[in-house]
Amino acid sequence: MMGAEPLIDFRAVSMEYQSTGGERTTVFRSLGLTINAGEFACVIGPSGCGKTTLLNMIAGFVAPTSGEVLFKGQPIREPGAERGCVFQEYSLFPWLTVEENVEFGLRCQGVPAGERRDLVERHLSLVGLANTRKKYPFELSGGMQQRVGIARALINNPAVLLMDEPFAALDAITRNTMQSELLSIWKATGTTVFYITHNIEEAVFLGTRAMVMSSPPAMIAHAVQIELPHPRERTTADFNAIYRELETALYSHIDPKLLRKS
Amino acid sequence: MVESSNAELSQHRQSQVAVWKTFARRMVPHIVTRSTVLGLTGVAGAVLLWQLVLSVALVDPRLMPAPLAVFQAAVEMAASGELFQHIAASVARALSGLVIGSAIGIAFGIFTGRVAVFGFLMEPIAQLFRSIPAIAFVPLAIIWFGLGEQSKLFLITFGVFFPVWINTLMGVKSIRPVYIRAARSLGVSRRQLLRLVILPAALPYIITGVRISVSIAYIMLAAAEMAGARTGLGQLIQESYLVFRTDRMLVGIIMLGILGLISDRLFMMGVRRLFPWYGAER
Repeated sequence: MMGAEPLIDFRAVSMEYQSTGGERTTVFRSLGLTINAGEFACVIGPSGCGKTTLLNMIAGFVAPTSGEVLFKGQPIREPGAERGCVFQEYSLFPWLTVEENVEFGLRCQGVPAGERRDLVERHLSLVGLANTRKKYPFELSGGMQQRVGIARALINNPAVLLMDEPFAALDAITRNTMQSELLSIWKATGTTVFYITHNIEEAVFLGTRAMVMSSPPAMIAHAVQIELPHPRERTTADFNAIYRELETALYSHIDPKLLRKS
Repeated sequence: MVESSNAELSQHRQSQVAVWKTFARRMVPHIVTRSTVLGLTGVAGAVLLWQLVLSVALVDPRLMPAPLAVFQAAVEMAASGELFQHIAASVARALSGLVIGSAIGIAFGIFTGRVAVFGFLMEPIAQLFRSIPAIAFVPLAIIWFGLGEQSKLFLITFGVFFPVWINTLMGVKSIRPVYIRAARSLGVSRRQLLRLVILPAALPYIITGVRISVSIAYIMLAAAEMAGARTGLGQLIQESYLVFRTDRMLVGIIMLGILGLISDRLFMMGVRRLFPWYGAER
């Protein structure tokens, strides 16, 4: 029965910005997109195509100009704990320890301290950081900070984890490790992941579905269901075939002007 | 009986000596650092220079007393307990003004920073008052509140309030939006947001504001006490002026400096202890 209704449903969503010069930019025009529960959905697109806006609409940070975004059948009006966010930029609260950052969501809901401790411990070991509880974020590396960010979002047991290029600022080796760990977390928790990236390889490695966004006014130009079992090998023929398909789709839908700008 | 108590006494002394030795071993390397040694050398040099200038230039000691004379005056005042009365009165005034002014300043800063209407409403007032030296209000405060504690508390609170307000406002305005977004998507309520995010995120700015205000509190204190008071270092300076006792004046002046220095150090020590992340946040 759950399969009947998508977890997230973009219905004819349009989004316009008015720049300070009075110029109107259409980010989306009548965009439709559904995400099902349990999916690992990756969205690939060039910088400036509006993929973060897509995520921000699910998170409830911005509202569409017209149309609506449904979450479990209800229109999204504001941010909520059932839609966890992991940001690309540094977003841990610097005034809290690792432990206090992770338990933030539980504290907001008034969960008693004893119960919080157990959950914090479990989620920190889930991201492999059991012995950093008392450290402050500034004492951690970038990769460790993102792990804490993931634990912080997961502790609320969200129905969907919204991730906006979470590993883009990490070095390549750390990034690969984090990708593998994210997959085991996704398997272990059974959560839905909505993942924004500009890295095709990352999308093929992680996603159960990869979608390519075109230049604005953006639409989902191409979508591939990726059936390869996890963990995936980055060098197999199947992997490469999907990579090539997405790459072709990506470059044929990018406005050349956008490429020159970046 | 006597012997045993003597033995106990010497044992007690020995253990005390041991405690002091441990204390010295642990603390001396912290206290006797390059910077403290050099700093104290600088102070000693300045005092020497002061003495030297006096002996060369043959200044009338009634106009400018020698360092030793000032020290003697300080010792006399300390022995009679007079000095500590002045210090206690001044510190109590500075501290209460600092606490009240900071509390009001922080509340105002958050209010004007978070509620756009009040921000726009208050901004020109903030800009105007910021450029008025707060000591310009001393005579007015005396007309309003008299020469008692009220006018002093008002003046110090007033002087402290503005830097704290302006800095808190800047702090609230410069909070990275991602903190608020992160908190909101973690399920923070609007009321919790203030306590759990806005206040701590603005804290580095608030700390800067309060730190500036510590020195402003002493400026206002001196001005208010010199305008008329029964006790206090400012009153000591003013009273010594009337009886032409420059040595006592200098005791008051130097004490104000020492108090300001100690207050700033204590404040920053408290900040580091309470907020270990201060200075390391991004």
